[in-house]
Amino acid sequence: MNIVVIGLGEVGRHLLSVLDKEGHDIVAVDASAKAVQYAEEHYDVASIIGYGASETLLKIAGVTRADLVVAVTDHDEMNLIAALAAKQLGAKHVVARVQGTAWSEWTEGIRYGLLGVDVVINPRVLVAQELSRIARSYGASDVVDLAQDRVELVQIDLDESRVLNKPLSAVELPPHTLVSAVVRDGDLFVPGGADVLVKGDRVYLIGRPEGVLAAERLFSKEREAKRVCIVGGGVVGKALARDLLQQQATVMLIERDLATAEEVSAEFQGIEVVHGDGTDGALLDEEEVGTYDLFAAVTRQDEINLMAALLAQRAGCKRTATIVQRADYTSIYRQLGVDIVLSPRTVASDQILRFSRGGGLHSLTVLEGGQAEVVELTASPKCRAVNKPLHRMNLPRGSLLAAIVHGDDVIIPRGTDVVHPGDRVILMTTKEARATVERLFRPRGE
Amino acid sequence: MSTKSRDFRGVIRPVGAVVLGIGVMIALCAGVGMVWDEFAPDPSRPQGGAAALALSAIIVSMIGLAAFLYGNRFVSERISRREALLAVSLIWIAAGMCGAVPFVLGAGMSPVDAFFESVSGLTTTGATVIADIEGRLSRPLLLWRSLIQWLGGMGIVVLFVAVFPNLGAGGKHLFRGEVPGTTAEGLRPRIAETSFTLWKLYGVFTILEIVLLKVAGLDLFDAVCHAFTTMSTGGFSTLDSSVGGFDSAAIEYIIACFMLIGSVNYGLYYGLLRTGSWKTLVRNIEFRWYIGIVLAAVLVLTILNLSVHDQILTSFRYSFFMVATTISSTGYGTDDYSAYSSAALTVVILLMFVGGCSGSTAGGIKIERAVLMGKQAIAQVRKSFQPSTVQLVRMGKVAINNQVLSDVASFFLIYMGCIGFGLLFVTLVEGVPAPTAFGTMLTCLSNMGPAPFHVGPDNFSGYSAGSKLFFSIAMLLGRLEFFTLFALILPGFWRR
Repeated sequence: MNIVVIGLGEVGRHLLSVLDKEGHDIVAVDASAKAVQYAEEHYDVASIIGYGASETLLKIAGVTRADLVVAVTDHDEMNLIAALAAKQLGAKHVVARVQGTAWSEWTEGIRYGLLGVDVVINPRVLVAQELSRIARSYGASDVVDLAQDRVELVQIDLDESRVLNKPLSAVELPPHTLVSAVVRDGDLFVPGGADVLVKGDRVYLIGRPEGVLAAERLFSKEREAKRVCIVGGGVVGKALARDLLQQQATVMLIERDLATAEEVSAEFQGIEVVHGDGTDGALLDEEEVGTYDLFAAVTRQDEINLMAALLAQRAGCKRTATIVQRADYTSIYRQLGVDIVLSPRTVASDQILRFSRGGGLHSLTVLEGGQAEVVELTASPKCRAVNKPLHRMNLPRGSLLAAIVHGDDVIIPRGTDVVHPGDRVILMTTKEARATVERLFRPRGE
Repeated sequence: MSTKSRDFRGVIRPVGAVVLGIGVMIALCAGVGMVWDEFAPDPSRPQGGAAALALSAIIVSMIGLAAFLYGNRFVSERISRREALLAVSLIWIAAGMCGAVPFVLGAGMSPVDAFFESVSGLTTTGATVIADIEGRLSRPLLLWRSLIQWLGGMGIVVLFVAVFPNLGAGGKHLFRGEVPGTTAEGLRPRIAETSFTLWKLYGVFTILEIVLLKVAGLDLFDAVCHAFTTMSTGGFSTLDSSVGGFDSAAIEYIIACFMLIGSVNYGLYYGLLRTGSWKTLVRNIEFRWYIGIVLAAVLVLTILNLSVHDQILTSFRYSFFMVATTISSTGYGTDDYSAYSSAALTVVILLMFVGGCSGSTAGGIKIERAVLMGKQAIAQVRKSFQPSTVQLVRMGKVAINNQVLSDVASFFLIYMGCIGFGLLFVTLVEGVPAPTAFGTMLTCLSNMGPAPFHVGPDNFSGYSAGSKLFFSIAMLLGRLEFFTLFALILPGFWRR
């Protein structure tokens, strides 16, 4: 695939590293010579220094023949213009990212066809949506919606629970749910009936949303977050507050800047806005943060988020969440005891990576730093996996057929279930098994 | 391993892989040469040699395999810049040594002579220490002698990068170690594909030349060998009297044209094929200069050489070949330039200095650098009376940044420094006249082949073993354009 990446910030670089490994032909563009030099040095890509929205430069970068053009500079308008220009020059698919306050009213994280740009991603809104899904769940630390919200994937860190220390086959899972993966000591595996869950494991449950909710009760003692405290009234904070209000949760929002605090208060009736510093321990105590079910620190500054979350934890808050700009810090945050760590950058690049996978692929979620992926694709009528029961499909080790979407029906399959041509399937696969699995569902000989 | 020096064991595997590859190539020559002798014997050449080559192939492959397997333990995730420079240098030195083995075993040459011959081949210099090619080298050996030149022409590291596409950015560092200077424009984003594309173009041109030479009446074996050494702009011939020995105008014109083709930036050919329009070629400033220099030189030489060749057509034939062989740094001979007038000889020497286009198989300073230096000089002179005017050096519409200009200036400085040092060394050690020493250094550094101002027959067999090694290093320096090898001399390279 010919891919042009405009903007080599954190998202741009992350995209380069993944796409380079996958063997695409990539041209990287940035206005800063330093960023371009970094890309030259670390990735096998061609690169150009220059203004990403310039027509001449886009032509030199080869957008006329590009299958995918991604605009992820720090300037939203530049991203839109560059994507638009690339589209007019003949690029097949163009994707732009926006993140500024100007786009904070969006209720969707992704818009299709806006101004003629195929896909516009607003990662801050996406992150807020993910946070609100987590708030709605019973103790999940991550929630991903698949197949247009008809299938849900949740991540739960096991503490005390009834499912521990017995074989999985003896755990009575609610109907239409599966344990799709287990992470133990940082290593991910797809469990079988004989595997035993222990304290400290992280499990990935997948299934129909109502079934998953029931399963969460089994795996976790936590309940839905009815009272949520948010620190930061920026794009993420506002989007999160909006979503939570719709879920009828009680929301308190702490904002340092008076003007912003007043603005938030004016925009949302029914939430309590506190003007103050989220990293002020005395303030957190005074507002009885410990009594809240979820504490979400979502300012733009990583240090503030981390400190606020740690203080809230000390104040007695059971679940803490932060967003982090530097995605590589995620594991450190977790080590320090923050329960939920989301990165807008990762969310953005995950979304963009979906478009780089060809074929009938609709969506893709990367788990545990790339150890596994959840792939959603349409079974081609000519592929090897259709019209035969699951137990004869020869799925490779480390992969799992998690769901079959047949028309309006969602089936969490057992050995005798069959994939029909044109069905959407949701597959969970480790990195090693991915190529083999995808081949099963692609037309023969492709 | 001391804590102050870096761990460079990651380079063992790539070097081993290349050595193994060379072993396979030797085996190929042994096989093809033997079969050829079997089905189309040529009694005029020495027989045998296949066994010696097969033995060499076994020895070289074993060494390569051992190094490769041993190196497997020290694979670094991504080859760093330093590792790349070291790997490229070691690959070339190791290839020179391995390429010498068949000459030692098959032609009974001394190790130093064989190393010189092998390096001269790989670096596409084409200088030889063998005075009696026709009497000493059998077909398999001749084939090997031509093949190493062909491999060295487009570059063994470039081939390595093409064959092992999973090197990522490390492959890019390796590529730059062998093909320095400005990047070939218009090629593919991925370095492995770039390398593969270059080799494909190179292969197609070679096959085309073989066919044309065969049609022009050359024996197939000679056609293959000469196509190998033409496209690489190397200059080894199967005859002592070089291309002149065929005494055929058609063959000379074909070879001359392919030498000229070989010294154009291969990126331009790719651009031509991809866009299908001649604009990429014609609009390239370096290409324009190249054509201009060739035309001017042919015109001047043809007129000057009327004193040697009476007829204008004869003079044109020999002068055209001389210009092509010199600017491409090939070094075939059809004409004896020691009979030239001083002015004509000066033209030849200037062409040797300049060399072909960047991104080609030719040696020398390269036209792009020469043009840039000229423009920079003019800009500096203009600055002396217009100090506040912005003086940009341009190549066509593109402004050249200062980094590139200082690169070019340091390249030239190092080049001249090497010639100066070499002059001193050769006159001191060999006691030859200064012009002779200058001729040898120039021919080695620009990977040309024949040495002007030579006393006696035009080959290097008369020099001492020490000087032959010195010349070998000079040829390697010229081929890798100095920076790669000189980096290893600086202590900072090895320190942590």
